[in-house]
Amino acid sequence: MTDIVKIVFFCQEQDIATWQKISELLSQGKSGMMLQDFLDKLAPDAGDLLDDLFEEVDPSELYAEYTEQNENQFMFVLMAGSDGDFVASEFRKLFKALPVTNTRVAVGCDDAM
Amino acid sequence: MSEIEDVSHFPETLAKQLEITKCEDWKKQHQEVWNKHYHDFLSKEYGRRDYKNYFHFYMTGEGHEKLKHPTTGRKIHYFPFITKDTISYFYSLEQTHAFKQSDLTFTYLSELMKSDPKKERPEYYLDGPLDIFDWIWGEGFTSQITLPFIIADEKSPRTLELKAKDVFMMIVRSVYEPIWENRDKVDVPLWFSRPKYVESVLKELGEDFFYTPETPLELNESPQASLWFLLSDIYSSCVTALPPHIICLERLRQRFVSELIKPASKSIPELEKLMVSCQGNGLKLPKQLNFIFSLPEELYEKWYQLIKEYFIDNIQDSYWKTFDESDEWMPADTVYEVFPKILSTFHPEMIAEWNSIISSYPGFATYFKLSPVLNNGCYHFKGTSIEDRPEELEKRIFDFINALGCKIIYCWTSIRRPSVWDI
Repeated sequence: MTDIVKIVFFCQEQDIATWQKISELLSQGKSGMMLQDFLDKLAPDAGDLLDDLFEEVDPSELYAEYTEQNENQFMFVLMAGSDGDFVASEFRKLFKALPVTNTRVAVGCDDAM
Repeated sequence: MSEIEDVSHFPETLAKQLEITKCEDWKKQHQEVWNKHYHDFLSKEYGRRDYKNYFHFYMTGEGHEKLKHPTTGRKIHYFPFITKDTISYFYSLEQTHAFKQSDLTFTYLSELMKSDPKKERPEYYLDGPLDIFDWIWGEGFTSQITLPFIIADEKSPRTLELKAKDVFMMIVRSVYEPIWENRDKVDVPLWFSRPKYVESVLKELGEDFFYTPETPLELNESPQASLWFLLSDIYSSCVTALPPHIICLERLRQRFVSELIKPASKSIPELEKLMVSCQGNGLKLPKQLNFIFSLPEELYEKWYQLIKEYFIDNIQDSYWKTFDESDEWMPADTVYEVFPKILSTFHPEMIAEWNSIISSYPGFATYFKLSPVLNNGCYHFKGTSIEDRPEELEKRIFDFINALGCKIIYCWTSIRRPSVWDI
């Protein structure tokens, strides 16, 4: 059984293109440093906030099973391996440092969300 | 990153070799190899911290203890260069219980010899791949080799058992894989530089190994099937010249037969008999038809958009992430659904001939893809088994594709290893 982390947030208008690119990367199972470099574009050194996460979770295990965009609102549903709570807490730390609003991060498993 | 590294903990010879990492030209070349071969892979595989650890180790040789997934093989691979000293050093750090013979004999030997690795990483091979091969495996095959280095703090070098069959299949695979995968770029395996070693492997195998197969089941299931395939005449065409990449693959196959197999056949009668049996298509392996053709740019774009729309609507899933990145063969249904759409949109006058071909040769086309083989973009079909009238079909499809306004066409027949479906 795989944990799922669902993240919903609103971004700034000028960041929509960057978030679209991040969404695409996560959907393609490309995270790791490549994702961190995109996060730096949103806030200086923001990507570093995922260092601890990638110490524990292989980037290849972290990918978006589903993404959605409605204007400047985004939703990522991430496959998060066996420790969804840890992944969620690391993403909460990250999103606090990013220029986004109304962020919700929730953990579930399989299709429970 | 500090410019001055303390290398005093390395053995003296290795510390001296590490001076090369201060050379600006070497650093530039080494970084270029990183950018080409490792950056993309590692930036997806690891977070930034681990990526930086790998990069630092790769450029300076420092910090192997900080690497994620730090196997001895990886340490040797990502160290700034390879010499006999680097191999000895990292195996001396190996835990006795962690040493796996298969890592050394199969993974590493196979990687070292299946192509010329120095072409990709010239700055890495301070000792050449063949020097390393000779150092570990010697001039001729023996079923026991004593390693020229010590594992961990063991008192004496270990002796490893080698099976001639395993080494021979490694040699066969080095030629079989590029042909089977229809590669458009081929490096000549380094086995061709050690023909005497290969001959000694063949002689060790004995007569029984080279028996001639008699049943279709053997053709599919026997471990020797890859060898039988390579001894057969794989490619032919009755309409066009073979495409350039197939000519390279055929040259490789011919060299395999004449330089690596034939010399040993003089002293192994069963092998000589097998070679005669395989000539032409003596084992009656199934044939398949292949077509590659390119279109004028404007027409190519139109086809491309139509196929892309079909692909996104019908095929794209989590495995085939995006159409543009895909180098996958599109399955049979695609041919029979997409191609009529293309014809009715751009070449309606050809629909009747298409229908006639598929009713005369049902299932002739099994796979279809956009292929990077020709520079200006092209389409590549490969067909299923064609036991009957292959020349007639080849000519007919050539004429059909020619009438679509193609710029370059290649068509050829190739034999293939049978699958369970052929038996």
